[in-house]
Amino acid sequence: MNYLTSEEIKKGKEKIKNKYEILQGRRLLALKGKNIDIFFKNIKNLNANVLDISTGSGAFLKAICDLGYKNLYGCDLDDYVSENIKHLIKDFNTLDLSFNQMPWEDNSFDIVTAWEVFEHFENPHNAIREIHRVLKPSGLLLFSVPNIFHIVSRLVFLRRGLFPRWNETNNHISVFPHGIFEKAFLRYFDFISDGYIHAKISLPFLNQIKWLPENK
Amino acid sequence: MKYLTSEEILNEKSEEAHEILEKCTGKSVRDNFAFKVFDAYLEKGFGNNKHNLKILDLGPASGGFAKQINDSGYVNIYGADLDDYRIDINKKSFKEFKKCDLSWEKIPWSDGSFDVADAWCILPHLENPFFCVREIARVLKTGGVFIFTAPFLASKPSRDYFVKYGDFGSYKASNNHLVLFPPGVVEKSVLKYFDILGIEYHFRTKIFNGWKGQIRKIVFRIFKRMGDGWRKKIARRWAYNIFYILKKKEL
Repeated sequence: MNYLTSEEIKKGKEKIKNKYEILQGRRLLALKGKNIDIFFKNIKNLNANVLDISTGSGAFLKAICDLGYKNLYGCDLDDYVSENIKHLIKDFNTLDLSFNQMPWEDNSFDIVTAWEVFEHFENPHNAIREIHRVLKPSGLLLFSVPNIFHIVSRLVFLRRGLFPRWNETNNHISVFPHGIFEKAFLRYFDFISDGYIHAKISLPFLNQIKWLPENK
Repeated sequence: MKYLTSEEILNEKSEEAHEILEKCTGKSVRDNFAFKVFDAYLEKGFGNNKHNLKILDLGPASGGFAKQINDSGYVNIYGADLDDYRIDINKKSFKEFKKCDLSWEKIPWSDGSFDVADAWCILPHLENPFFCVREIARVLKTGGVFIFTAPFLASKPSRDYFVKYGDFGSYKASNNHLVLFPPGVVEKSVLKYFDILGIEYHFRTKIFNGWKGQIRKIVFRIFKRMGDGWRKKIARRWAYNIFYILKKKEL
């Protein structure tokens, strides 16, 4: 999807909703279901209040609901949640997290998840402040962003001075190298752990190296 | 200065911010490079009429750049910043100044008010520069010129540093730069509203220090003699700042 401002995205609601419907299964495949594994491994309390930022079709909330988590909340720029998932979400709100405050009170949630979201925000700092506000003390934020430190990303940058995953044809706009990650996230959160999801390398030669985790 | 939110800058850290920003004039302004680029492109675009253009200086801090251009004949200079950090001697250079948080608030002038807008290393400090760019496009007349600078990521030292450390020297945790402008991001967020008139590269003069610097100096002179394209090529290799000179599109 090309880069669109929040207003332009809202105007194209039906188109985006249809895209989510079609991609519902594939969205999980993109993260290879790892987000669900990570969530299940870290969150043992099935009664935890879980807020999923940029819920999309609601596929992630549906998946964790199937695992037994019941207190599910969501928010997104607009309502793209599938009809068969809506009833699983206790409260859903539409808002632009680059500009607005969330309608929930301070310390409302135990867990906030944001899968492949922050790189799309014009102002991720507002979103991070808001997440910090609505999370309980010691609450957890689980999120994923594209990995600019990947060997291919580094090599392309060395050769061409650009990041392929922030090119003009996609909707990624915020970049998080170490320094910005520290300023943006670690100001409000302590770091617990990180992990990586591997996608197959598309470059010749590199995709022939069998021992690289991407090629396994 | 480390990263502070607008609220912190305006409230609990206000004194600290004033102390720093009242003394603050960007390197490219101090080196006179910003003025040279600004004046050359306006001369090219507007000729003798350049001194009458209505100019919006965004984030003027101490007001050093406005003073420079005012001294050289530009008279219609307006300013907008989070707070007023202009020192008294520079205040006279402005026709009008308004306070505005460029990440959140609309620029407090009506559509098509200005011929030129400049933002010297302002956008990378904003939490939401993309909103600010839309606002600049709104307050500029069609065909108006927008000049902005950002740390240049693709210089040779910067590429090497990123490959080694996964970070950029100008975006370290200890400073206030928040937003990167790799080519793809500029293309989709800025060039949606503007056409490119030119790109310039600014490097620190300290790269000419020492024996290695002397060699660089000779190389630079040779490239400069070979023409403007070659000068830019070698400047790009060493640059720490990139200047975009843009013209508002007719949408």
